Amino acid sequence: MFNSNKNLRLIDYQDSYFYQQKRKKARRKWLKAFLAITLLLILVAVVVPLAQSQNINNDLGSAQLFNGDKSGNSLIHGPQLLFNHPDKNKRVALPIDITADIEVSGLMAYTQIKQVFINPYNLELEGKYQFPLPENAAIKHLSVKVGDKEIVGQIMEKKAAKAVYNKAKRQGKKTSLVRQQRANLFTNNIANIPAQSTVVVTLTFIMPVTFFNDELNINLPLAMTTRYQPAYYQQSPAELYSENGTSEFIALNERVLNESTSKKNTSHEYTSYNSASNNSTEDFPALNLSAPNLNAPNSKVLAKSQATININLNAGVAISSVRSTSHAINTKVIDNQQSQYLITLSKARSIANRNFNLTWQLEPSQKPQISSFTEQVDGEYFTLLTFFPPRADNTEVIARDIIFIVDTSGSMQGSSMAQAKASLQHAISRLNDNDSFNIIAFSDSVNLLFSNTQMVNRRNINQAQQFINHLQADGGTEMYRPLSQALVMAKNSQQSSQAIRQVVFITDGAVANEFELMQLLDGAQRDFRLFTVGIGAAPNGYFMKKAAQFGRGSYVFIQNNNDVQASMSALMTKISQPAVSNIELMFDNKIHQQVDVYPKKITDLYLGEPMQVAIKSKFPITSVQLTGDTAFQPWYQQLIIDDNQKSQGISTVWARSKIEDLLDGLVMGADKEQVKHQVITTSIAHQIISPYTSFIAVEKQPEPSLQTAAQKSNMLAKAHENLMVAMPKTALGWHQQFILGLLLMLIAPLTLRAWSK
Amino acid sequence: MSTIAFKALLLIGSLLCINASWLPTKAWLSQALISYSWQEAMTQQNQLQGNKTTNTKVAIKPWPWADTFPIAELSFKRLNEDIVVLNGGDPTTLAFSAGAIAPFNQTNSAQPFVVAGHRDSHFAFLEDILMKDVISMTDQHGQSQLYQVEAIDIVDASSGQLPVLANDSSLILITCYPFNAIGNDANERYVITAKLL
Repeated sequence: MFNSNKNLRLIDYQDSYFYQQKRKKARRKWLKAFLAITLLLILVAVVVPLAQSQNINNDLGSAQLFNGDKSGNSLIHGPQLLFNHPDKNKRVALPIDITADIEVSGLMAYTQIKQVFINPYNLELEGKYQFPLPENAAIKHLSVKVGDKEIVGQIMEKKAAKAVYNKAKRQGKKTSLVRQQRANLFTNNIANIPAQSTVVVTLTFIMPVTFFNDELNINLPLAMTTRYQPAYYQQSPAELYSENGTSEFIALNERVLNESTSKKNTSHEYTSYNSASNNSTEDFPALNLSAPNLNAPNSKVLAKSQATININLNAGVAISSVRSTSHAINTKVIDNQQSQYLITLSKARSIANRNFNLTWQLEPSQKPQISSFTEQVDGEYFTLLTFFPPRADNTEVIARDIIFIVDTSGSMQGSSMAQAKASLQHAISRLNDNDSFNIIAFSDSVNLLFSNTQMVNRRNINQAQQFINHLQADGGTEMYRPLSQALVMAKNSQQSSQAIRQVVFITDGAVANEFELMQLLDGAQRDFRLFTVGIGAAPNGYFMKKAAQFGRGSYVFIQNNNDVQASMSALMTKISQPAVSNIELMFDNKIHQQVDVYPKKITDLYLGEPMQVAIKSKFPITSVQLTGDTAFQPWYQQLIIDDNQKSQGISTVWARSKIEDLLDGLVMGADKEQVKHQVITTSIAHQIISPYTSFIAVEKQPEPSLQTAAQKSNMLAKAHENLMVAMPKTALGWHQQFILGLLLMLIAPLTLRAWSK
Repeated sequence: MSTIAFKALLLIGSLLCINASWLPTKAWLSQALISYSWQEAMTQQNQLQGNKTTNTKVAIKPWPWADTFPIAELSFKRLNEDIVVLNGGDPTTLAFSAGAIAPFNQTNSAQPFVVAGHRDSHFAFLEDILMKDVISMTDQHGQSQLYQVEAIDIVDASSGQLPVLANDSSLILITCYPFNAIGNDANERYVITAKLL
């Protein structure tokens, strides 16, 4: 076509109107073709990823279809047991019946869960199921009873646990190290369940009671949400496209299957080893294995799992109302102070398709209330004191001497700085006339608003607002100087001597010298309170928490701009109303020569925030004298502890605080080996996990028989806060802008054409 | 009229292009500076070790007003890629290089070492990582450790938090997923876990 055109041009007048038009047309044709191609390319670039995501959605949809639960939300269901039956058609999901006994003492819920299921087949089979756990649950005990054999999970020192594990391995026993794909889920994998037998799994854990808006609340998860796991979960995209990679994955799967079948041939297997443990007292999930899909597509649900729940609620102080938003419950008061209730479900066996929730409210009081519970373990007495703050209505606001420290280092650039500024502005607007304040901005240098703190008045506030507006994020992070300056800064002469020095530290905590700073806080005089405000997507949570702890204050995290107002309001309201500060406990020295109180530094009691203290003593504590300061007068209370308030799990709470305290000792330069030894002793004595111990399941009476049941279990507790790593935005998104720019440049000549026509 | 529109469009387009390419250019330029400061730190470290005053970390800022410093170097033998990791996981740091996120920024500890990077600059090559790949990490003391890729996951990031196995000296690399998507608000993360060899 091009050639013929050229020929024609040679022959005819080039400038005639006809050829002009023709050339234009030809040009437009090319243009159109070019446009069409670019459009197509763009479409491909945009639509293909979209279509792919659509595909995933479709897959998800079809996966849901098989989940069986026809009524209600098919994605939410109770735990179901799945047997690895050789006949695929017989692989059905069986119900697991759950009995939960919860004993609430103050702010702690000691929970025992029993899961019962049967193997209805005439074959010895392997079964597995998942069970949700509440957040922050600390598992204390696990036992699996198959027939007359019992496997008990216990805490051992890491080395010892490893030795047991290795020994079992050397003897050719099946050992397993199972990993988890998701937090808050407990996966139990039990091999060789004898034909037509019953299995009882008992799980004991402690979960916290949450306090919000004068209401106490516990939440026991009974159902879980199915999550979609793509088949290529384990693969990188590179592997996805290569055939080799795919086959490797299948091989992997087959190996898993082989493992489960070969189990039947091994004589007996009884060890399960879990290496996970951490800084705090909780066990922890690995993030890296797509677990076997427990909701296999071809499993039919025969019956729904049922749950029975019995609660012994003992708040320690009078309760005004008890209710459950999730289930109908029966309540029965069992003491004359209205502080103790027995609670059961109205329908004895409820279908476990939603979480159980229980809320109770305390009788309002003008004074701080204290409840006490005791537990006796091995001749030692453990006492738990829970402090409930008075009602927030008619409290006086105290005078404060507040210093705000704001981080303006380079790492705060962008949205972090905006959040910090907004937080500061908001905090300043919440100050009262009898407060005095100052602002310290720092990066690698320190910038002060005033040389010492100034009373709150319009002129000073205006000056502060301007100061805040001019803050810019740049430079390094040198925290030591501003912090030490804040601790020694002179108080305004007009401020009353009673005013409390409060330091509000707004930062992302990106520091390298954490220990140095904590030592500074720990060594400083104890007449200040430090509150940390963590800013940005990835604040250094560990530093925020520990700094606040050493400064006897609290911490708050602000994730995005929408949170600023609410979080800062809450913090400012809270710190303006300490209900009782400088709390001290006094015991009868003659009787109690050795009393171990944790936490060592008792924090202040704030409105709307209860607090607990755990005590260990040689003899039962019958009375405690408490002193402290309320807004205008000293506070004193003598607490008589009667023996009736017996409860379980208090030693665990005590041991948890003790381990935390011991580990904090490392910051102050305590001897590492000594701390390790003490932590291990405490951890084993009280059966709670620590960084130096492991959870290991060992069969109690190993019997050399082919039918010995074995258990592979693993624990999965909630991810502790400092073990969650923030995921920052990891895309620059420059492609988008680049393509837009290119597109505009492409359109430019087109407009020229269009206009010139 | 038409020429004005033409020029305006051309100008805006090229400005957008330049602005967009500034990000990867900056990433590339800073990487050069960072590698230089890393090399410098390593030589100083060697000298220090010669003088037997070990156990001190040399932290040299890549440019004087920087709020971060190189903390480790990762090298991927099979892919022929090297990258110097900075301290910190904030957006500013990530614009310059991959960053180690606090509190998981301690090398040689019993805790994991977590590194995040941009999928369309520093960590673009993570797409090609396969299982069993070996990653070498050099820390500030100049000591190298080998890690082997053990798991590759795609996780939902709408919660903003990723649980990690605490007491495990693993290396975790995080970037946005999918790799070739357009825009910067990806809701999924590509998480590579490598175990200490």
